[in-house]
Amino acid sequence: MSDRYRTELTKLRRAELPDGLWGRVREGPRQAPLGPEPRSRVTAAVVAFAVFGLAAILAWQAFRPSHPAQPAGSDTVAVPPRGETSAVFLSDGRPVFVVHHEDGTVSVVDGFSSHRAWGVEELNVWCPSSREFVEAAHEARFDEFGGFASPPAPGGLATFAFQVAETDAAGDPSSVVVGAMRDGVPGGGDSGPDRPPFCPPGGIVGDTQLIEVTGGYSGDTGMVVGHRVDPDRVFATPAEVVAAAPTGWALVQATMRVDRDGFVQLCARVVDERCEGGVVVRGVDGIGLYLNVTRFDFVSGYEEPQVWLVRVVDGVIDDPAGFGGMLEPSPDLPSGPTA
Amino acid sequence: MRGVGAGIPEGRSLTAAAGGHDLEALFRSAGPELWRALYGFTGGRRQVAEDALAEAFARAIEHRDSIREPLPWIYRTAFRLASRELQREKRPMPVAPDPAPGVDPLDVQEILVALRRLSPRQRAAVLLYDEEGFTGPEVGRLMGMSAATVRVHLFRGRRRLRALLSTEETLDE
Repeated sequence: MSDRYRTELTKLRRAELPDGLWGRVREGPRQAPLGPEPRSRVTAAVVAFAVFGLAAILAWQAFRPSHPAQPAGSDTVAVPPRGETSAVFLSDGRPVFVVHHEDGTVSVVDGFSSHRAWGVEELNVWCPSSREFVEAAHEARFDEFGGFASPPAPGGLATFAFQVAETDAAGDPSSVVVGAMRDGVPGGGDSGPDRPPFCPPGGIVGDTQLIEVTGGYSGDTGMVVGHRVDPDRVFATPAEVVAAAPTGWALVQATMRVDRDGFVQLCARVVDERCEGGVVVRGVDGIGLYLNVTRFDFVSGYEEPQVWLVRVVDGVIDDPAGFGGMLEPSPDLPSGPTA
Repeated sequence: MRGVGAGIPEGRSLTAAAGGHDLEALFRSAGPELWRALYGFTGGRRQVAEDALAEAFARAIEHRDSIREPLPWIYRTAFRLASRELQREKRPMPVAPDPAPGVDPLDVQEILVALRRLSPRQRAAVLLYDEEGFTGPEVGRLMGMSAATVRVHLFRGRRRLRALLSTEETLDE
């Protein structure tokens, strides 16, 4: 019965064009125009100032490391069996992967891609069959140590220092204490030959529950290891997460809105192309995103309601990363954490 | 059912120029398909679908000299108008779809209620590709998406529809 939806869809084919609609067409447009209203000179001046300010911020961002080094932490995380990889969140909410290589060594690799499309963080998944990390949105690839494998990415993934905390009976590490983050090795590329299939079936997965993810570039679907979102940890709106001002990374249900002047917000919802309950997003090249993506798309992947992994700094949102490709947003998300 | 990806039926052109083009003829040839897609896209909200279709064609006439490809322009405009109107509505959508010529509301209620639970892009991709027979690149041009994006939303929309209809079927039994 898997294609029952097709049978049901065909019933719509009987719908006939109502009479008299052409007469209505000839009466001319009745509704308000789509898109922003014409701007006054004052508004235009304010927008120009905002654009200038944003350009200055972006110029500053260009000289700032995308993933600033963090001090050594004290997260103790379990190491999966040899050959397997697990997806965990550190205590500050940062997603990382713990790789237990087949030779018994361990790597702790960042969950964020080194490729940031117009400043938007992108999440990686682990493909067990190819033993690679794949950036879900654009399908850049990295080897199991986080090294660059294929574009688009400027270099390898950030990794973390660690110390072995416990070993198992065979002498393999069973848990590690995660320390400071180290930037990935530079050297990558923006484009290249056709990308391989997103993630073919197979590989070592052990007890890990795989998730179904669709690659944003190929549209192929694969079963991968990825970070799962606990609905109980999702703030219901951007305003709530900003009010809570959590330390580190937090999850929030939101919709991104990119205005034509490059102003970027995460919104509780977008109604009539207006952001309701919005919070300013910092660190995203809104002009680039608008010119290259959102102005073309009906509703781009960035603008789809989804769960975002964000940091709250000085009352604004930094470094948003969407879970759109990994988590089907639920309309019944709870009201969010109380802490 | 028409073959998936069967291409553009005779008389349906994505590239016909609007300037000097007979938009009334375009309305007659493409209007019925757009209407069906909008009726499905709105989850059976006849008035919203009618308004969106009529408004899109009216605007196309108004801007006919500046529109290079009228059909994609009209599709995008109509779907955006419908989407905006649905977002504006604060009240819960009634379960029963509005009656429309040619269909029994009870007969299409299940699929329309399921379609409402898809994201707008998923709905558009499923209706245009699976029902109206456009190819992936054509849907992309109609909706202003890349073909790859269409595939993603088609996949997710189909998966969601299958799950929704399967669940409801099980519950009915």
